[in-house]
Amino acid sequence: MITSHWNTIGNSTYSKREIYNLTWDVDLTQQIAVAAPFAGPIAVMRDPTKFIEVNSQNMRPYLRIYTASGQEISSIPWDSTKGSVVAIDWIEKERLVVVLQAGLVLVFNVFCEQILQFTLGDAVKLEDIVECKIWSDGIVVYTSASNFYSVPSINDHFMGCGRVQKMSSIPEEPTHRPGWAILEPHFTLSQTVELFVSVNSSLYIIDEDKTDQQLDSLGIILKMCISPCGKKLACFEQKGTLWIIGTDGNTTNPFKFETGATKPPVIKWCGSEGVMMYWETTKDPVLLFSAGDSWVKFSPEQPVSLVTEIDGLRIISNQSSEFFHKVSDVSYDIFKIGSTSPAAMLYDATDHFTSKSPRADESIRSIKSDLEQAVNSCIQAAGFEFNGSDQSKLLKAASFGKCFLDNYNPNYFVNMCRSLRVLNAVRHYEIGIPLTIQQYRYIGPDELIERLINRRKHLLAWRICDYLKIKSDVVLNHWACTKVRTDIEDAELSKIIIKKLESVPGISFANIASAAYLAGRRKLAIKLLEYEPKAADQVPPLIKMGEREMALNKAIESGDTDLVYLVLLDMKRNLPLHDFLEVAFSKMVALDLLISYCKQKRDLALLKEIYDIKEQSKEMANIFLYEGFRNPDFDGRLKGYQKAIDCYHTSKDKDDQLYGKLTEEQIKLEVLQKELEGSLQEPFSGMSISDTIFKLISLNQGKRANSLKSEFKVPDKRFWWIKIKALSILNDWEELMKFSKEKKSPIGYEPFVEVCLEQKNQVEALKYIPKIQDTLARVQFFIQINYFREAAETAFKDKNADLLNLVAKKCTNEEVSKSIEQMRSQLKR
Amino acid sequence: MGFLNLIADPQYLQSQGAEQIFPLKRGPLETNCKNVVYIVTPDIKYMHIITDQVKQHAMDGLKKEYSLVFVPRGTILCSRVLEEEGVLGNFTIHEFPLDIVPFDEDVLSLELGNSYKEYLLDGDRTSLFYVAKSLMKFQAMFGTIPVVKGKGQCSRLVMDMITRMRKEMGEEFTVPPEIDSLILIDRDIDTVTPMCTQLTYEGLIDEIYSIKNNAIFLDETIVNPSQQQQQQAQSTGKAIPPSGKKVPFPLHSNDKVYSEIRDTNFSILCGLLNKKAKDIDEYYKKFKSTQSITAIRDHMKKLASYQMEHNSLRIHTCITEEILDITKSSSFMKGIEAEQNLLAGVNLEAVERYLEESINKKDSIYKVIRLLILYNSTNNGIKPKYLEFIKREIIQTYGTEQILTFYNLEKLGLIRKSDPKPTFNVIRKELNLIIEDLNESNPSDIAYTYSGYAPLSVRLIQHAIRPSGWRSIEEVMRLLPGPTFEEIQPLPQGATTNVKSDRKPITLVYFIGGVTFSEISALRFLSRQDQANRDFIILTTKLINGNQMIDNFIEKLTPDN
Repeated sequence: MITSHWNTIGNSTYSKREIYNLTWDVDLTQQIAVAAPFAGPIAVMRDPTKFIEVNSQNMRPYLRIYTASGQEISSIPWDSTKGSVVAIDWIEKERLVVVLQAGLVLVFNVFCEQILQFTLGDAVKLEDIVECKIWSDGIVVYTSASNFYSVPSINDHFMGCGRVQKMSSIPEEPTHRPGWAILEPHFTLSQTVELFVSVNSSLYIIDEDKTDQQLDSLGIILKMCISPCGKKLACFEQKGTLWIIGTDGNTTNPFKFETGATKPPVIKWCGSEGVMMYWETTKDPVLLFSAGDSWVKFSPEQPVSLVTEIDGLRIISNQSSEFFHKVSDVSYDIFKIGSTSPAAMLYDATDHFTSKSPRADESIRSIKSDLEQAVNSCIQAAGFEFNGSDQSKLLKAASFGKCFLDNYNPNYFVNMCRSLRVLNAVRHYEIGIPLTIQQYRYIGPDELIERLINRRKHLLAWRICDYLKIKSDVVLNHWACTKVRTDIEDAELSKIIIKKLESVPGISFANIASAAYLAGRRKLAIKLLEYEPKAADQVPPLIKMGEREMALNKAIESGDTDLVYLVLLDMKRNLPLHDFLEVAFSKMVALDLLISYCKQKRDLALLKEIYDIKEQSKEMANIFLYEGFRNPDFDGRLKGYQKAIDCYHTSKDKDDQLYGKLTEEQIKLEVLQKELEGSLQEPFSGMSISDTIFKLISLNQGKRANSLKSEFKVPDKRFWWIKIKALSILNDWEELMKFSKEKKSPIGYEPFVEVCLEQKNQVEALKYIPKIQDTLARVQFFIQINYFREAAETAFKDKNADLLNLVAKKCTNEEVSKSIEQMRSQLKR
Repeated sequence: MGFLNLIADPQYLQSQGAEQIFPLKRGPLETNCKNVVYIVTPDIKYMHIITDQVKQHAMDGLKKEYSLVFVPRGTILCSRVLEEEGVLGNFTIHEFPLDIVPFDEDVLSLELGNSYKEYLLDGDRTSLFYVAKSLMKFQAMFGTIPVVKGKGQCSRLVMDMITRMRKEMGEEFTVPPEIDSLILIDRDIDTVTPMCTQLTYEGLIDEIYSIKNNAIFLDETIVNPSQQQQQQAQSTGKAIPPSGKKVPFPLHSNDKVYSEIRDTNFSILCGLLNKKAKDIDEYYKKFKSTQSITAIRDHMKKLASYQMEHNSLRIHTCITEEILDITKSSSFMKGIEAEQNLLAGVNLEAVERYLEESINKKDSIYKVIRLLILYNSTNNGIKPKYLEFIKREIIQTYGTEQILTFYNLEKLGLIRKSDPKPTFNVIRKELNLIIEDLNESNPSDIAYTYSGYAPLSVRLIQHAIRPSGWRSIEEVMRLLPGPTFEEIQPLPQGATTNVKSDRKPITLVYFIGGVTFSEISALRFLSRQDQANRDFIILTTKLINGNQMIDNFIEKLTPDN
């Protein structure tokens, strides 16, 4: 019967039922057990405050971690030389924190593997810890110097940026040990840890920066505890009064309950509804539960350990794990003796229906109007049950009731079935996570999956993912990362992992490989990396493992040159130059990039090294040339050119001989230019051969220009062009005319006209037009300068009708046009 | 301050709280602002400039907060340079993944000016990786492109990269494909076209004014003449004298007049502009003669758009006048003649004479090198003796440093010793690249963009979109460098083609290594033709012309970074 473990306390009904029968070998008279909330694991250690009978078995203390169902997950011998334990408790993600007297903090996972260690600092060590409390992501210690120190985030310590903060000091000297409690940051306005501290008869709230006095009439408080909702504070006063006040500073109407005891009990909240007080004595332990104005007393036969849950309280003893919680209204309405609520009627009707009694129909009819509500209530109530048959009876009732409803949305029913199926699976004693439906909804399926994989229950986690249709890559990744730490042989293991994960999207082989590498399995890591589809993820771990050549190959395959550079620059930094170049040379793409890098960074020394090894004399010559041109020093420049020439000469490419010769000319030219600069006091440096000749002519140094022409074998044609351009710019028309008569122009006479016209000198231009051989060119020039008559006459003389037409078309002078007409008619004849 | 202007102009940056805006230049940065934000592409030379500025501030005892924004992403190289200089810690580093920059409704660019040089000269595949990334981004937005055709080494590498990236991604784009095919074209397979002078209106503007980020710089009196100036000009009939101050003028299809004339051959420009002017004139006349209120109202509605067109027409007339002054000159005509001779494979001697004369006159080295490359590509190389002669002429004229230019050009194959196979002759004939008797005002072939020469790259695209594809011109494809491929990208499940669409199919054309404006015009022309019946979207690494393309190869005696 469900109601058999019900207790009525005031107006509410509470249930205290056994969830697991524990078969562990734990004796809470000698050991302490701390359990993580949300049906978490239980850590058990020898209680240092108790005397024990020494025998061979307990000579060496152990730290053991059990599931909530008492199955041992792991254990390690406890090294008590490190110092005595001042606090042990669980923080979020089921990690166990142990604080030692010396201020050392150790963090373990459920496998008793130490995953973090840090100290609380010298101040704490010096002052000596008096009391220590651990909350879901932090630690607060109270020292003999009446100071509080806080670790505001243990997660930050995992990230390597953790800190220890001294809290604001308490304003009066405590006459005895103060009672205190931690208000976690997610409940406070300041988003930082706040403490309720009772000093003498005052109650203070202190945080990192300030101390506020709260209330002064509660008396001397020995123990304090904050409810899981963060809104209520339970205080046990020296004379035996239990006060419950709000944490928001509102102290009007505090709840008060006289216990009649003076020895302070262990105080634990049951959900946020009521407070369980526990006086532990070896003989008759007492549990006193107080909620509202009522209370109830239990007398367990043996000592127990209590764990607050958001919706109840777990009571762990040597033999059993019990769950104490307020019975939900829906369950109460259905199962209360003699209940006539619609849900109870529906539940009843289902019973009748299964026993084929016609009363089923009667019951359904009687609640017809409330049937939907009754169905919902039955579904909801099923959620609260732990027992499979109780769940299914309620669900059957809901299902039965559903048949009589027309448009019932089945989602609620389906979702509840799903949730219960998951919950039943994890509640199984072998898994031992007795989550209630409220707790499950609070943490969500993802968190549950994470807990399962942290306990290496990968198969179940994977099945739940599959069942709930959530992505399972996290589970598989974790599974593989766990596998690589086992001692299965490399070849076999890689086969197993690859077979399972190859076709799953979103799997990061790079992650698994990194795990394998950390586990010292380099070969396996490399093998696994092969399967990583993203090159960007392959390359960095390969570099880390020192597999530089493979990293280089992968980077090249990816096409992402930035990755190639990542590998190259790592090698450049970490390998001897020769080894580095050898690897770089083995890959064309890499070598090209390296050269490009040198060019961009102007690392000419490395570039020369490369060309030297590769015997690329042409490229080497280019570098010397490049450097040479940029060398401000004359001798340095010439030396650079000479080196370039030597390289061109050794080049296998015959065509490079020309470049060698031209570079020799450059040396000759610069030497000459230097001389000219000396004798003419004019700058020549940086000019080409043509430019130098041009300038010499401009400076009236015709003779020198001529000698340069023959020195550098400048062709006549080019020389003539340079000369007539220079002379025209100088406006030295006389000299130009003289030059034109020197000999027959190798470039014809068009250029003469052109340069004159460029200087807008028609008169001079006209002198050269008749010398042009080509009639067309002659006509065109005449047209260009609007000498239409001359143009026409030229065309006419040549008897070229087409040309004459062209002139006619362009002509803008009427008189001339007329004569052109005459010419045209003459030509036609 | 390059293409960022297209997205965030100085006014916008100022509205976001920027107090002063400087283009990044060598030399100290003098500002009183405490916070300095550098926005740069990941280029080592910028790192050096920035490092110097930061060090200078430190030496002057100025305490500043520095942010560094990399567009489109930071690279290991840049971080390494900053690290080695010991300034990495001074910066808060951000990335602004602006990779694909829209230039017009149908033109997008990655603005990677060096991509052609990087891969072909240095073997650096960085830009190809960006190209592949941009295609993945495109496909994520518009669905997997089912058919991919490509030609050239770079195209092949990009195709391999996107295949790999699809695999790496694991999950597929489930967007229904909106683009039905992709054509990847290497600039390398057509080096002829960009060396020719572009002869469309837009192309010529680019050749003469050099279009940068959709804008050119014109004299202020052309873009925004004062009323006084305008009146004066009208009364005297003379042009307004230039003020010398240059202001940017945007060139975009939003400008109605421009969008109508940008793709036409320059020889018919005058006619078009005249007609346009007449239309507007007509409208104004009608306006004056309108009597009824409703008619006036109708007119008023259109007035604003006509006024805008009027203004734009005025500016384009000015630009056209300037352009025609140049195109009428004998030196321009001679240049075009030389190009046409080379393309048609006739009168090589005249070309050689012209080339030598250009060198002797010391014309712009860009002009000379462009012509030389064109000579080389259309003649399958240059005869060794002649090549030696030309090298000597160029080096003696422009300076010995041009040895390095020749090294670059030879390594790229843009200049080489002649090869007995008449490759280009075959290509010209098979692809019908030279169209004679072309009617430029009503063209029937893409050849109008170069007055008779059909750009090779676009001709290949024209073949690619035919049902028989490149199979019918297999011989030509073999003659062009690099592999030819055609692949089907399997569509992911659930991403079936949109059958309902009544719009033309879309082909994405990716010019890896750059595209010229005239090629874009040719593609636009192609999409208007009935046989094609499809729209093109053009994606490229950079909008280029011949000068920009060869700029990276020409050695300049500038000091080191």
